[in-house]
Amino acid sequence: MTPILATVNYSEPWWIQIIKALVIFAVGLQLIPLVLLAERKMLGRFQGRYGPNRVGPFGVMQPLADIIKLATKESFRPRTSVGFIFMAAPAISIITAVATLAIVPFGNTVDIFGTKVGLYGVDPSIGILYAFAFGGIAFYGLMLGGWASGSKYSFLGAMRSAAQLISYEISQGLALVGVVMLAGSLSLTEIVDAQATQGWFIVPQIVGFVVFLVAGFAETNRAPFDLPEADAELVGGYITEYGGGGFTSFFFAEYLNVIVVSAITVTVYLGGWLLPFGWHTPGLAMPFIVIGKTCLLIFLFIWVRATLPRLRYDQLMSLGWKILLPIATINTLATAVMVVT
Amino acid sequence: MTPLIFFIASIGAIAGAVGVIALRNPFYGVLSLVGHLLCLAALFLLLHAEFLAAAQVIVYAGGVMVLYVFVVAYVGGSGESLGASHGWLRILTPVFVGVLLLELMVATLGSGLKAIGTEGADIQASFGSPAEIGELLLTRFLFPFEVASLLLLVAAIGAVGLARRRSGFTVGDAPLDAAARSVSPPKGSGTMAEAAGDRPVFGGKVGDQ
Amino acid sequence: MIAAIKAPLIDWSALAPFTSLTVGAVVVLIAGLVGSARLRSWLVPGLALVTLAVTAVELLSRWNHPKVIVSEALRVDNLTVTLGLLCVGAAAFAVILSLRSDTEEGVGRGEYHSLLLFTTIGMLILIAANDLVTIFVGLELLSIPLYVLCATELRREHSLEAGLKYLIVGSVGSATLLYGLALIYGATGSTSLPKIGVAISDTGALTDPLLLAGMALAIAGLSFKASAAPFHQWTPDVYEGAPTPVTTFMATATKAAALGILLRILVGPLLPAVDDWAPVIAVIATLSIVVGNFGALGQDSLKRMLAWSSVAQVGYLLAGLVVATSLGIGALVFYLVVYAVMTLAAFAVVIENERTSDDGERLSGFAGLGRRRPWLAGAMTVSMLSLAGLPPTGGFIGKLAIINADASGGWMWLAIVLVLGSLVSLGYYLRVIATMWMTEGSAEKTPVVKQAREIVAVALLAAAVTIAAGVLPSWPLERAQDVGQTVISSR
Repeated sequence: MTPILATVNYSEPWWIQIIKALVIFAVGLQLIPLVLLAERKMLGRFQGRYGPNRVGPFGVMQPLADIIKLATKESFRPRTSVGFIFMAAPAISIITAVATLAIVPFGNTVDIFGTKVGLYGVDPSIGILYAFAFGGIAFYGLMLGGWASGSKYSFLGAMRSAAQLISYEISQGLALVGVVMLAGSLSLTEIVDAQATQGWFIVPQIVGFVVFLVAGFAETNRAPFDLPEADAELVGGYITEYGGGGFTSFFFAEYLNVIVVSAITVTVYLGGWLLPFGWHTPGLAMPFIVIGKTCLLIFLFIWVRATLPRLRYDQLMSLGWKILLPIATINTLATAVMVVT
Repeated sequence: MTPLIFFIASIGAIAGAVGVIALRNPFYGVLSLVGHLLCLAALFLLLHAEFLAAAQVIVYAGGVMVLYVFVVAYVGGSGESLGASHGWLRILTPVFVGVLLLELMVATLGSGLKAIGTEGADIQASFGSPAEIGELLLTRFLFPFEVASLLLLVAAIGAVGLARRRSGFTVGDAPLDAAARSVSPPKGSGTMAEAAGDRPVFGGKVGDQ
Repeated sequence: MIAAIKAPLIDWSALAPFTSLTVGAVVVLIAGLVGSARLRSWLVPGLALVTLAVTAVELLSRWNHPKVIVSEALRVDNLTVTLGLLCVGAAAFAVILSLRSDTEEGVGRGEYHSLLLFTTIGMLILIAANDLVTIFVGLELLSIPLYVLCATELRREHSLEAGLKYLIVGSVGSATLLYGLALIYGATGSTSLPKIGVAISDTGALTDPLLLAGMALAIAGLSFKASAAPFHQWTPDVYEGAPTPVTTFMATATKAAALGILLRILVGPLLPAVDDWAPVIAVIATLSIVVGNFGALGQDSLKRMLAWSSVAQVGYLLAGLVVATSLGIGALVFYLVVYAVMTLAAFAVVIENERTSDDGERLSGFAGLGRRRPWLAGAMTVSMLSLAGLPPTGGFIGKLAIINADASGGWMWLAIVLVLGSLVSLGYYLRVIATMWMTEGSAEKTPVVKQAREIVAVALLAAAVTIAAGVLPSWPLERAQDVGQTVISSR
């Protein structure tokens, strides 16, 4: 039995792959309740109120309580819904989110007990395109969820999020092209390695960074681009009709996407596991550096949510197509000229 | 494991393709097409064409099919089914398809493709990588590559030209108006016009969802 | 890390016809944005004509300088030059014929003309293609602008229908061709036409069913584009529904491009398989002749009649291809040029008649045309006689050349079919002539629209060329034989 990827310079024993998968999955999922709690606490701070403070000391057990509540809820579905698709949609969402987590590199190849282990799930040669491919499939999670609910609010929410997703995906991809040209590779580990010699890409690619981050906000349906679930207009968007397990899956997928986008931004623009000022990174500290930087970015996500008002739908579209896309295109062209000359 | 994935993916691809034509509900038809395309991407992966697989998913499943889903979800209701073909077409089509299938079977099985049933050719690690494909596009297939960009420009011009709103377009101008009417919102969807009462709902055609 | 990639050598002078057309198309597109409608109405067609003229000169300069350019993607030889000139000429006349048509109401003047130029580029690429990938890309660049052009008269339901129908049927044709090309690639292991030829003659891929299936599908796909029976069903509806200048262009240039690439594939790398494909082409030719001629018999609409007749004409042309000798190819090329010219004359008259009378596109609208506008009726008469293959026109010489090639190549029965088909065709061609000269117009119509001099001029010019080709056929026939010679010897 030869693993599919074995022929493309990826060969680790199968048991290491399984352990890695488990570790990454576990760490990724552990981050979600933390992010949830952090968001609610900080939003409280920003808005001059306490935030959750009842469950456990300082309310730290709040996410656990939420999860227990959600998990024990009765699962139901509306009479107008389409059963099979209604059940499959949250699964698609969470699977694609978790799958994208696999390419985030938490570090370079290190020696653990004499075995060479890459601190990442997979490192395919197509690198970042892998993330975009799963991003493309993630669309179907939202879309099918909204459509199969058989409710107008869900449907309109799904349509909005779908339109938003495909509009901003283009700018996001174009913004990354600059980085790919500088690094000369699509592979995320090689992009980080390139930053060791060329400096962090946020410096030459500051425009690309901004575009990527803004598009990232939109891709994850976060404020100020959270129109799909604009409470005042659409109740809860595509998750209106979901409760219990389905709701949890969508919710988790959303926060996991925030984490993944932050982690990829860190990898691509903020030097991944590299420390600033050319300090040497000790091998096993790499994952912590990546997670630390990711947390800073997640804080930015929360900060923006607390600060900026929601965009109107037409503003959202014109921002995506008339501002971000041209900027990303010009950035790509300028970078190409820079690289060639 | 490779044969297992191959059979799962190819059965999925065939089932998806059959589903596209067999399913009467357009929305399921589109979903079936998406499944078909994803299975094709898996087959590309087996052929070590990772870039192609990713491109397949990003462009087709994530781009083209999204538009299909949009249109079908907005316009084609779930209760609506596509009309069946009738008359002599119903008899002739399966015959024609059967003959074509037979021909292709014979062609493929009786061909000089010696690699069928073997492990396939040895390939280098860089095979199918983005770098390799990029190099091919800029050297051997430079001309078709450039022409393809021209093709995209033409498609954009054509789409804009046909879809552009024209001055002097008046209500009652068939067939554009008919198309506009058929997507008007159904009654009871809480539009402002409805709330205002006596004014007619835009388009006037009332459909029950 | 930038890998050192060796860029392919590009012979810009040989590529010039393609680049100039591309630049021209973009310039025309931008010129369409000029604010003043009056300025636009002569600037845009003017620029398009200049572009086409430059391209024609550049093409002419490549005569007898065969060359394979840009990583063997294109082959610019005498066949490319001849058929390329034919397409460029057809595009130029389409521009002239649509001078007064209301393109502003449709897709817009700049878009209309640039799409016309883009589809011409596609034809040039298709004719010059030396690689399977180039063939497909060229075919798509030919087709997609045409789909849009067919639907430009948005307000007319028929035009939209024509565009949609052409899009769907054309896509089926393209997909069929692509499948065929993929199978050919699978059987021979190369996309380059010369290498395919080598693989076929060296490794005995000839008996490979994969190659045969690929060939069959490729022929079927291109027959869709050339509208040969039994792949012709879309033709009458699309020809009738599309704006008439576009129909003119489709009837002449598209057919030339489709037959050009068919010629290049079949008489190029697939020549060793001639015993396999020649009967297929012969059957398609026979079917086209029979179906086209009988289909045209009962038509009341001139555009529909010309559409059916074009199906029959493709049959005659394919009969020249069957022989696969320089004689047959020469006859095919000669007849292709003559066919384009006489079809142009016929459509020019239809356009002018359409503009000046209510039912100008119907046969009844031609009643009494001989009395009202004798020059116009004269051009139509010459065209009809030539299409029917009567002397002293170019159509007669062309058919004679094809029959001669068929007879000498051992395809006597096909020659007989051709003659019988021509006899049947007299039934509808002569009916038009009789209607024009022998019946009175139902009521004396006063032309509301001013007569378009340029359209009449085009019709008369085309008619004159048709007669000239019939009276002095030796020079064009010799050039056509040259082309046939280069195609045969270059493989």
